[in-house]
Amino acid sequence: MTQSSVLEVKNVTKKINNKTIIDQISFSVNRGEIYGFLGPNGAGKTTTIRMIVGLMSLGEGDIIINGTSISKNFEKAMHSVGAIVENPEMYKFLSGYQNLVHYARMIPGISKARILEVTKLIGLEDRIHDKVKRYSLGMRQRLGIAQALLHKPSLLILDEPTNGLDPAGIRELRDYLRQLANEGISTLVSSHLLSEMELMCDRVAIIKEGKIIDVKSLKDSSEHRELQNKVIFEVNQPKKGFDIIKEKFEYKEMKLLENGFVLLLKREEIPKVNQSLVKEEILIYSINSTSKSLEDQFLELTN
Amino acid sequence: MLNLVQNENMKLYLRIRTWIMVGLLVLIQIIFAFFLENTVFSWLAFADVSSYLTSIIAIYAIVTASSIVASEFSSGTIKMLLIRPVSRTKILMSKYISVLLYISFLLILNLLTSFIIGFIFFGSASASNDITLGTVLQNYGFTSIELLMTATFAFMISSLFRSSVLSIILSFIIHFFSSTVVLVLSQFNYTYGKFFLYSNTDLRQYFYGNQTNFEGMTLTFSIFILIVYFVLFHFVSLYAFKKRDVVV
Repeated sequence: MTQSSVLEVKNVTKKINNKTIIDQISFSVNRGEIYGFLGPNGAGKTTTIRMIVGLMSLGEGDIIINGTSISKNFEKAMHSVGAIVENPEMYKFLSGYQNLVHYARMIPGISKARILEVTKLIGLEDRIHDKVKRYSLGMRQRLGIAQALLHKPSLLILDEPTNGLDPAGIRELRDYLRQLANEGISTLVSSHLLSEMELMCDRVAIIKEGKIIDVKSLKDSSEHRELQNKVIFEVNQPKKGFDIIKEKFEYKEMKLLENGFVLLLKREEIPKVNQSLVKEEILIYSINSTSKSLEDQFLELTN
Repeated sequence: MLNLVQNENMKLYLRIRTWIMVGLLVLIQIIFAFFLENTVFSWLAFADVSSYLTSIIAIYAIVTASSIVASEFSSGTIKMLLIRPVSRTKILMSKYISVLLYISFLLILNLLTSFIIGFIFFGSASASNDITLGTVLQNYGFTSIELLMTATFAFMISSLFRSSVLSIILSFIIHFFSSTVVLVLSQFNYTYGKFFLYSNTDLRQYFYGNQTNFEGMTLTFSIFILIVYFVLFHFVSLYAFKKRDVVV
């Protein structure tokens, strides 16, 4: 394995009652990378995560965390992992603080100061001594993140972490994961919220029926440039502009609108179209480029 | 390991249920004392009567032992528990130890409160009958063995099922029918009846000139049978707990 990968999943297969749930999945997460796991419900995201954290046995293959195989030395491998699997189920009859103490006791070397530090980090200082049953879903989610971070893991695994968070909370989480990534902590995050993944992740694996069908890098700008975006031009003379551009560039996918026209363009082509319109003295009120989102790509791939 | 037991204790003693059970135990003793107040009774005789309240402790032991694993599955917290750098064996054993500690706590509490309540209601006078501190303690000793086996059995049931309700009900049914089964088996003098766990749990049958449940039973035989069941229960619960895919 390469030194830079924190998590390596190698040809993992899982069968339940002779039905293949996970089929030969392989991927790796690099140090400081936010890796997204994207797929429709029942695709096998949670099953894969359950195998990584040892809740389910591996059918075939192996999972290596920081150089340690989970099937050979589970306890050592888990030292570098903090996780939330599906909902963060806490002991409701205990306070948030007692919950953290509980998990802190399971790993040597977590001080009281660290518990308070993590509490502060998730902004729950005021309510930490309340019973968890009085917490909102968002607060429970944050407490879940706190317990995952207690022992300063190098790999954070979050299954559907944005569930129950309000938009501000989601943004906070995203910023926080980015900050952790800058400190060298890797995150594996699963979601079916495509737009969220697009904003959060460096790479996204698209999983369908137990197989990874595509891995997309979201940071790689060259790939972005290749993509054709839908560009809407709002002009004073839609018909004239439409004809000029159609004649000059021979674009096939072009549509006339009431107050302008829309066409598929690569990024660097936009100024050229703009120039041609200006030359013909057409007034341009706005140019709107809507990037083909991960959502479109995802639906294309999975349907 | 000590930390894990500490965790289990925290989860046990911060539940209201646990303290309701403790409160009821003391309350029942006080009610007992009121009923017996005007009889000629010594504090030791009261302590002796109170030692039969251990059947209530058996109920608590079943409730606690049969829910301590299953409840983690019911609430989903088992996921949070098993993703730590701790082996499943240690987690299961810490739960078992905390059940045994709880039962010991209840036994000692029952004994001490029976002394205190006995003194308050009946004074320090020694009775004319032949109950001594020794017989009371012997009673507790025999009961402890029964409780240990009952709890270990319920604990095994707890590790096998995901629902704490199902686990508690099942343990109860088996516990309460076991004495009937022993009775029926011994009525017909069914030879293999002596291998049945509950034919062996009450070691009092070998003392005080009692009759054994089945012919040909000896103390050594019963101890051997108890050890075999004890090991078997632990093996089954450990195997089930370690093997299980957690899908809650």
